[in-house]
Parts: sequence; C-alpha cells; structure tokens
Amino acid sequence: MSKENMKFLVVDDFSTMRRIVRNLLKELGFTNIEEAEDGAVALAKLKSGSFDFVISDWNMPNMTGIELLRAIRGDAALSSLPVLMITAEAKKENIIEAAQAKASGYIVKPFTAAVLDEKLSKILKTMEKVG
Amino acid sequence: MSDFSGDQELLKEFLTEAGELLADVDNKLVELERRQDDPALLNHIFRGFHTIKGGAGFLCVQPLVDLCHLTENLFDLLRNGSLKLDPALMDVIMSATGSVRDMFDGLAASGHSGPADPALLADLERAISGEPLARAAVATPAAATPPSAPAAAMAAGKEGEAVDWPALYGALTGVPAPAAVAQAAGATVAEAAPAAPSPLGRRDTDQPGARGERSGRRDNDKLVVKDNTIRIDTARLDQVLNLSGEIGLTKNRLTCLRTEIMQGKTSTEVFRALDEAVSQLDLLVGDLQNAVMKTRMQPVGRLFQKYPRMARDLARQLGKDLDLELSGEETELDKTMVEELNDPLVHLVRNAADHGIESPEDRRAAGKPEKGTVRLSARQAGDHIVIEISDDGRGMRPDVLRRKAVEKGLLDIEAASALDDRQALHLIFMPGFSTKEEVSSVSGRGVGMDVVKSNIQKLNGRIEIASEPGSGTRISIALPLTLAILPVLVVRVGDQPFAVPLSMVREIIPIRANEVQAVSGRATMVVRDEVLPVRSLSGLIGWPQPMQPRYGVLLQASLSSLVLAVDGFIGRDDVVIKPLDQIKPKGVAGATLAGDGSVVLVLDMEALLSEPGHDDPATMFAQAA
Repeated sequence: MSKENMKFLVVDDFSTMRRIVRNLLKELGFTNIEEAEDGAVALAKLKSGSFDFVISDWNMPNMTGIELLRAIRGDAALSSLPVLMITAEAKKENIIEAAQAKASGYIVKPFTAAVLDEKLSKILKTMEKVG
Repeated sequence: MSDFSGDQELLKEFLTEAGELLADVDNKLVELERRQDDPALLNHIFRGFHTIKGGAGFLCVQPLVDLCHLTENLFDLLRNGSLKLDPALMDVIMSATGSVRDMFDGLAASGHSGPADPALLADLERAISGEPLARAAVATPAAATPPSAPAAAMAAGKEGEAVDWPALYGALTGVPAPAAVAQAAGATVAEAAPAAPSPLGRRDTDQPGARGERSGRRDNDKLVVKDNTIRIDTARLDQVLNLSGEIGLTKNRLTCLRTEIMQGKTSTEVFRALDEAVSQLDLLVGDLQNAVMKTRMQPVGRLFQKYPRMARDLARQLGKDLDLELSGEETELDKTMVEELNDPLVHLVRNAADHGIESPEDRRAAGKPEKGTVRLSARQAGDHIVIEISDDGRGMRPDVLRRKAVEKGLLDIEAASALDDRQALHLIFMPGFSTKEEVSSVSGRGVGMDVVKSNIQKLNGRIEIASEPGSGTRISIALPLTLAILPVLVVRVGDQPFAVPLSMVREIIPIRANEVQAVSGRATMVVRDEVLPVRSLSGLIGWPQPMQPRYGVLLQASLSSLVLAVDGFIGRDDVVIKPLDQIKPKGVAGATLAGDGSVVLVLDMEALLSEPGHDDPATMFAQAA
C-alpha cells in the first residue's frame, strides 16, 4: 500500500498532541489521517471506516488507550489492525500491560519523526511477513 | 529532539490548551482540599500534569517537563494510597501549579521558560520520597538546595526504570506468547536500569545558579500575549457555510428578477416574486448574523474556572474562610467580552473576598457561619447576559459611602445628601473613591471600581449594586450578547437622525411645555413622581433648537435617569457600528447606514452626558421659564 493511501487514526485527548503526531506523520509522507479525542470516539470511527493503522495515547478520559486496544483485539473485524501505543510513561508495568493486550508497538513521548518512522516500518514489515 | 521547539503556532496552541487544562487542575485542587481521598479527583489531576508533560516534551521545554514529571509522580503515589495528603503537601502542590503557570506565561512572552524554583523541586522530591516537609525552612537557602541524599537516590531509582526501547520493542513484537513477553520485558528493564542518567544530575548541570526567588515570580504577569485564535464547533461553522450558500441562491434569484424588471416585465407575479425573494433574504441574513455571532461565542466557564483557585489563595492570605460558588458556567458570551471581563471580574471577586467577607471572628460574632460564601453566576436574561457576584459579607451602608465621598472631596454635602440609597451605592464607582485605608495587598492594585465600571461600559454593559448592611452585597453586570450588532432607538433632531443605544432607553414619553419646570436654573420634569432633569439632544450636541422638542426619551444613565428631549422618532433598529476613522467627535461612538442609505451617527450617551450642560431652560422651553 502506498503511503498516501494508508489511513491513520490518531487518538489523543490533547489536541496539540494530535497535531504533533499528525505533523510527524506528514513529514514521513503519510497524509490520510483522521483524529479522535478518546477511545470511545476512536472505536466508533474504526467500526464505521476502513482504517489501516491506529496510533493511540494511553491516558485518556472515557476510554483509555489500553481499553481501546483490548476492544480492537476483541473485535473480529478489527483484531488484526496495527496499534501503536504512545505514552509519556516509561514504566515496566505499562509496557507489560501493552504487550499482554497485544499492542503492535510502544513509543514514549517525546519522539522524533525518525523514531516514529522506525517503529512504523518495523510494524509494517512484521505485518507483511504475517499476512 | 528539536522538531517542534521553534514552532510558534504549535506553541500557541499548546499554551491555550494546556492553560485550560491547568485551570481545570487548579479547580480540582481546590476541591481536593475538601475531599482529600477522592480517587477520581486524584486521577484527574494526575492526568492533567501527565498531559502537559507530554506536550512540553515535544516542545523541548525541559524545566516544564521536569516539574510536571515530579508532580505527576507525587500524584501517582497519592492516588495509589502510598502517600497521604496534608496541608503542607497541599501548599507544595499549589506552588507547583503556580510555577507551571509562570512557565506558561514565560513561554507566551518570550518562547522560553525559566527553571523551576529548586526549593520547590526539592520539596516535591522530598514529598515523593516520603520525607517530612519542613515548610518553615524552605525560605532559607541552606534548606533549598541541594536535595537530601535519600531523595536523590529515590529519584534516581525512579528514573532507573527507564528502558532500553529497541530491545523491548523486539520483545513486544517478536514474541507472541504474552507471558513470555512479560518476562522478557522484565529482564530487559532490569538490565537497562543502571545506564539511566540521574535526573538530578542533569538538572544541576543544565541550570546552574537557578536559585529562583518565589517573590519575584509575579513580575512577568503583564507580558502575557493575547490569544487571538478561537476554537469553533464544526457544526456551527457548517451552519454558516450552509446559510451563505442559501444567500447565494437568493441573490441569483434577485439578479434574475432585476433583469426581468429592467426588461420591462412588471407584472404582479414578478413583483410578488421580488417581494418573496427580499423577505427570504431578510430572514437568511438575520440567520447568518446569528450563526456568525455564535461562532464567536465562548462559555463563560472558561473565565470562571480561574477564580476558585484565586479565591482560595486570597482567603488564606487574608486569614478568612470562604467558598467561591460558580453557576451558569455554560452560558455563552462573545469571545471579546469573555476576555475583557477578566479584569473586572478579578477585581470584583477580590473585593468581595477582601471588603465583603468578614473575618471568621467577626462572622461568628454576627451570628453567621464562619465560612463566607461568594457566588459568581452567569445566565441569559432575554437578549442580555447577566453576571452576578454576590457575597454574604458585611454589606455596604449608603450613609457611610455618602460621608466618605464628602470626606474625599468628591461631592459637597448637599449633593451627597441628595443621592438616594441606590445612587449612594454607585459612589464606589467614582474615580478616586477607593480610600487609603482600604488599600491592601489584595484589592489595592491601583485599579479601582471606576475602572471596573468603565470596562463594563466599554462593552455596552450596565452595572448595578444592591447591598444589605450586615447580610451582603450583590453586583450584577448586564451585557449584550454581542458587540457586533447594537440594538438602537433612532431619534430625530430637525431632519437629522441619531441612534441611541437601546440598552439605555427605559421609555418614551411626550413632552408638554407646561410640564417642564425650571428648578435652580435647570429644566426638570416630573415623571410618575420622580423629578428628572431634562436635557435636549440639540443642546448636548451644540445645535440650535429652532422648535420646542416634543418627545422625551427616558434614559437610564449610570448614576441617574434623565429625559432626553428630541424632535421625533424614526424607530428601533439593529445596527452595525462603523468607527469613524480620522475624526473623533465627542459623544459619537460611530456611524451606521440607515435602510435608505443615509448615514446615522450612533451616540455615546455616557460621553455626551459627561459634558457640562449647555441647556438654558429659559430659551429651550420658553413657556416654562
């Protein structure tokens, strides 16, 4: 799939952060980006649209990132969607929790476009191998 | 990691959003003082700091990241119960939010933020490590730096949990079995730990000699830049778009009809169609004006949310016990007004806390609960927004105010005693009324109630006071919904129309010459037992008065009512004021276009009435004299 076609959903309750992630993705050549302000909104969008990649914050009101991740993995139609978790937390328990919930990747704020690119391409490569 | 450090727009957006978040955190902190163990509150505050830290990291504001990180850690311990909140800790947390706000201000002013007060950071670290806080010692430099060894060790231990990400990434994606992943992750974490840098070491080298002084913190208050962006619900924007489309269609219809008429088709159908199209345009333009106005509307809660924290700090400073209760935060006001209201409201809340609410001892002696209450409310009443600040404090006594005004030389005894109680209360709005003994560190900031009043008037608003000695004062501010459109009454002097703001008009009455009486050289008139001065508009603007005015507009000016004598009326209208560019005639707020295309001057009545009168009742009302 070409970069322009790949459809991203960026989930964060802090709009500045959504904009930052969006800018970073644009820098990497990804232009098809939608946003959601919490897990619940994100899930509704995911169910109604054909997204290819989810980048989600962890700490959000209504529905946290990890709850969103679990909901995605528990939904037959969405379960194979790659989900990259973003958080400011570098805590061991969190990473383990994310791994157990089958996050595709985990990235700690703040990060650069290069770091994001590296994570994305690793995830996409793994997907190609599997699928 | 400097992708965004110079991005001005992003910084602005961050400051707006993070500023709101911080105000919210501040309010939750005031609540937390009452409900210390509420897990939802603790979690909410934790998340606030966490989010600010995340954004600050991208913007490379390291001092802000460090401060938020420590505070966040502290709240993590509070929410999982391993640390208990106490008043000393609360003070540390409060100064942490204060310091975050100062950094925001610094960022807004210069794009940089100074380092946090090392004493504050040390306090936070001490609290996190569970050591007792010695608040009394904080002010002395010896206690401020460096942080004690156990605290440093503890903080280093925290940071030690930082992880070798690429290694962990491999563990995450490479190993499918969750249990195995957990183990692998755990192992990597342990290995990576010793290599992590100490946050304390980094801070100490980055910011040498950063021994900030808390007292100097407020100095950069005035540098805050005004935020001129606005966030709009897309539904509202869509409505504007939709309406402008509809107007476009109607315009096409009108163009078509014009062609037909110019071609000589003047049948009844054509005129009916023209009538329909114009009526439709009328409706649509009205709707569009409303819709555009709505895009500028902001909930007044954005403003209100800053005040509980302010009231709390004030109360502590003054040794008083008070609650600030908010209501009607969802009421919407024009963005400009929300901003312009801040200073007046800050002043009024301060006043209520400082002058209104008594000390706990006095309150007890007066048989009141020790805790005073200040209420701040907003609501829509018709086409106005009413904001009220009320307190259950000592109230104001009109006789005391009269006496003070005389003592200050603002009024002579005769004039003072002529004021009724309501007018006497309004004396506090006179320039120079704030007395020396009233000036405290809290209220005496060089801005008096006269500035509050003129600010409100600039917004075409009105301010009213009601006070009951012993039981409290209520100040209400009535504001128009928007500044863009002004409802006016169009009156006539000779053939010239003038617009008077409708908000001042109480009623319209006929003037019969024999009702006008000269009282001590001034024209007056009795309207329902009230003796009111009569001023002719022609006299106010310095025009000759060839004929006797036939109508009076009963105006409610700030201090008093009066009858404005005019020759006639044209009607009421909603106008858009255009400022006059080069010339600034006194008493003229601007100009607008009437329906027939003629220019109508919009009068600034307060300015006009502040002129000493030119009226001579003998010539104005020949029969009356």
